[in-house]
Amino acid sequence: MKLYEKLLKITFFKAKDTKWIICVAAFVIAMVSMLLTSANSIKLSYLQAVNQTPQYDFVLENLNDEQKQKYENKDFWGSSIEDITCSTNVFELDIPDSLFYFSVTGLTGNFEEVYSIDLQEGHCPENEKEIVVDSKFIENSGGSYKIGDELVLSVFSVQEKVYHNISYEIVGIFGAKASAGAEVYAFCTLEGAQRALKKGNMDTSYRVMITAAGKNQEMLEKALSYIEAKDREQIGIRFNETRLEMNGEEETDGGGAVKVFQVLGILIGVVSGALLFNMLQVASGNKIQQIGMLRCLGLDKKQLYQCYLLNLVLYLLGAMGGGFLLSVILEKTIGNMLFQRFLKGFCLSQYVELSFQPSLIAFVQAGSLVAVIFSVVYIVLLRKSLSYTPVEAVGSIAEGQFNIKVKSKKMDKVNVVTFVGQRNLLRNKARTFYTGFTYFVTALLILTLSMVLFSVDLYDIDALKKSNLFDYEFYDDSLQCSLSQEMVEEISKLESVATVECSRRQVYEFYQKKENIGTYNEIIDTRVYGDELLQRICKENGLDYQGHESEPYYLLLTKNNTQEQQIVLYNQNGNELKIQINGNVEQDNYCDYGGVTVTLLMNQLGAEALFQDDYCYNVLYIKAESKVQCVEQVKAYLEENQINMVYSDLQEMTQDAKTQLGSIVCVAIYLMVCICAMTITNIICNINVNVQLRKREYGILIALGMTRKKVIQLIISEIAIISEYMIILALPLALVISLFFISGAGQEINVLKIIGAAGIGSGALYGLTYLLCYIKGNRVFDRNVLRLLDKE
Amino acid sequence: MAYVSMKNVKKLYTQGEDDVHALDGINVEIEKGEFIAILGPSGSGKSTLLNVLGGLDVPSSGEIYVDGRKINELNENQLAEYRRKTIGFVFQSFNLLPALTIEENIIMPILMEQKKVSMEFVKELMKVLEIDNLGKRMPSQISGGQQQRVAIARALANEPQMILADEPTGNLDTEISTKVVSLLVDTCKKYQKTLIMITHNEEIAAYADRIIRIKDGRVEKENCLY
Ligand SMILES: Nc1ncnc2c1ncn2[C@@H]1O[C@H](COP(=O)(O)OP(=O)(O)OP(=O)(O)O)[C@@H](O)[C@H]1O
Ligand SMILES: [Mg+2]
Repeated sequence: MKLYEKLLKITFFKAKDTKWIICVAAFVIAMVSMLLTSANSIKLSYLQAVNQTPQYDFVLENLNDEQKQKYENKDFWGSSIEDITCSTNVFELDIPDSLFYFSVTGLTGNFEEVYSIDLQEGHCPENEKEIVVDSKFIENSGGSYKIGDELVLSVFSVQEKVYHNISYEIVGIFGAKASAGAEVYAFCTLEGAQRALKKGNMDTSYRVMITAAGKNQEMLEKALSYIEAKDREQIGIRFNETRLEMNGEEETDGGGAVKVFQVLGILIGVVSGALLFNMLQVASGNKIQQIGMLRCLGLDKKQLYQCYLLNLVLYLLGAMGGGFLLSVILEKTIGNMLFQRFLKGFCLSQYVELSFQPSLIAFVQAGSLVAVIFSVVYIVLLRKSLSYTPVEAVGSIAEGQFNIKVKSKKMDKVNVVTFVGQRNLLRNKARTFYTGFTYFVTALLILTLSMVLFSVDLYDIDALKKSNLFDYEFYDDSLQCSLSQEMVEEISKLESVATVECSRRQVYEFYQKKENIGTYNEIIDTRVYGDELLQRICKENGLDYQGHESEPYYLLLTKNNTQEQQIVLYNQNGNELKIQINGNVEQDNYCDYGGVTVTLLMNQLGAEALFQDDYCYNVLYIKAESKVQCVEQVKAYLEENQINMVYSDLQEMTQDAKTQLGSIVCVAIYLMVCICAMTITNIICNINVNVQLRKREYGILIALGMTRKKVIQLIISEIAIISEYMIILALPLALVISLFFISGAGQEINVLKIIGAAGIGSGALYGLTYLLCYIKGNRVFDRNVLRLLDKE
Repeated sequence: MAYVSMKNVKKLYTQGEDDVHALDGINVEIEKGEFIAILGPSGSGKSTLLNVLGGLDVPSSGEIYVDGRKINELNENQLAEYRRKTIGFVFQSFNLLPALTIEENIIMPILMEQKKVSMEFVKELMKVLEIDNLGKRMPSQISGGQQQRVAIARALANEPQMILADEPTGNLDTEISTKVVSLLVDTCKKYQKTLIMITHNEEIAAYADRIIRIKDGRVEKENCLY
């Protein structure tokens, strides 16, 4: 045991590289574990949400009273079903004197189960007067509402064109659901919902959620066979609705985020693996000498392996300890913060409550990665050392000096700094290679990032088209048709108004019969656009509307890349309508809703043909001459004509969108932080170990009369030669990747910007290298020359 | 004034509680082209004297003049220049740069000067020191005696005025060391360099123009051989 104590003292405790190796390893563990934790947390959050949401085998949607009564009846289904829950479709109720509105759902059955709401106070509604509300509403109202209070909501009656008040009693408050803007949620009983809908003269539409007996396929099919043929064409039938929706979300936004983190994790894992490998390579020449020395002292192979195995274990223990502390700090600070920021923009699902969930597993995984790298390096090292005779190992032959092919160079007038620097690089090729590799990857990342960030105007995206083109959006809250073509023209003549364009949003819903999916009926939304806006939409989708103004014109908006020539729709009465499609489009930047359902966009003549209705609009897009007056004048005009419209300032909306875009910037910063941390660690460790181990050589140079400045230059040049070459190597690849990104974001390629970004990126990397070398060199060589010359 | 003149040079090391007077008032004058042997028991301050003279270390007090320049008042860069231009060091433990070939090691001081390298002179020097066939080898590929001759060649390559050699033969056996020292001495004589050499070997010291004996940081005895 005494022997190993001594051995460890030499090889571990007194070794100069120990602390740096442990530092790098700890750093690698912390970084990788933080990224893995982030990816896992997103996944976990989504899975939790998926598991919490109840699953129905299928859902019948948009049922009328008669249909509801039929399908709600358990006897109707025979033994094929186990459970039925009935709810109203979501409808909106306004909160008087505020911009807020409730998305209300009436429900039979257990609220907490069906909508996975988390009741914080009170109880679920039991009669038609009771309602439970979102805690966000309570917060927004500044605490003026509490349980037991009366809540008066209003509903707009289309026929009477007046608002009616309905009063409820708040009996419960549930944890806030993520929702957009002015929307908050509320739940009441089915009767409670019917009460409101009746006041607004709206037909209630219901959904019936059905669980097949024994959750079994056969029973499911049997149950489906009961649905009457005439209903099949009208009502929407969705399978496994909730589950499907959730899984879909995990695939899209959540899945995207997980992938981003996973890719980051792999990237950082590769770079940090190389970093660690490099670190050990830097130290290897010294270790080989050390092993040679120990063999000269009479240690046998077995003892050597045991000694270095112990070393390995100690390194790992140190690294795990340090890594644990570091990862806790990282996770608590930037991990958590960036995670929250990041997800604000990425996770749009109201069902998913995202939380950062650090786990030991990620830490252990990261630790294992480091353990594997350590083991591989040590086995290679020991095998290599044992392939030399002890004498070769002790003399620095093992450092690869035999392999230097000295070219007869004209020795007069060489730059001593670059000359010695290059020679030192040639001396340990493995080390040079790994340093080069880490540099290459860092350069690649930094250059790509800077090129993309510089060249892409994040705010010049399609989603902001509307906000970039117009100042205000006026819309009829109740989404009723209220503006005629003449009125639009009159508004455009107001002096403070520069341009007006208009549309009609949410006209009717139709059902499309899809033969190939059997009974699956797809809901089709409709939207009417004025000529100018339709022309814009066509242009943005590579079509041309010009010349079609005098005929019905239809565009099919879907995200699934279909190319339909003709679609067959059914209206509420079951009548069949055949529509010729003029073009298929993938984006409509002038309407925020939809996106999930297929939408039919059309011009005024198209609307006339489809609805046999006089055409009119409910949305105005206004570009103002003078912003302040514009609102006043338009408002006055609308009031005069007794049109009830609200407006939103699109610049404010831009601001909101920017917040979301901020999270993309956040990811970029996250990546930058990681890369910079790695670059700095890489450089610091490299220089430190390098300078520590070769102190004596630098000392000789100083004794021979080299100035301190020159020696620092030498240290810099050794790293700088590598970084120069690697930046040059990485540049074309970075260029290709970033061009791919830039054109992917649909933006123009600006050569000047790219050159600038490449310059700044490589300048920053090179500058950082230079600075760190300078600081380190200055500190080491401030010492007495004689002490540098000391032999250990 | 003599070429080298040391006046009351002291070097004090503070080791915790007690002070070590490595040099305790050295007064020495050396003429240009002289060969001085420094003798003395271990720990007497010989290396310290050489290091202080060579600008590797700074004295605690006293004055050192070399060729009329007061070298204990030079700044870091001037000291480096002094070491580069005026001094050639031969260390006991050779101190060759392992990454460079023998030839490159030898011309290193010339490269640092950013002077044009006169390969004829270097070749001649290598011939004189009998290492002219080792130029392309690495330091780890040659013997100790050869390494020491390389170190001597390096010290002379830049044509400095003064060679300082700290036990240049300490690591070598008697036969080789006599050979190496006579090479060093002959070469210095040939190129008219001042040579100051620390040695434990009285036989080698006998070659010197003058022997300076050091004890406890003081010059104990100076004897002129003629
Ligand atoms: N860095 C130092 N710190 C403290 N004391 C030192 C230091 N260097 C040398 N000394 C002391 O100064 C004295 C002179 O040392 P020096 O190396 O000059 O002796 P030397 O004559 O060269 O001996 P040797 O023949 O063994 O090489 C010794 O007592 C030594 O212990
Ligand atoms: Mg000595």
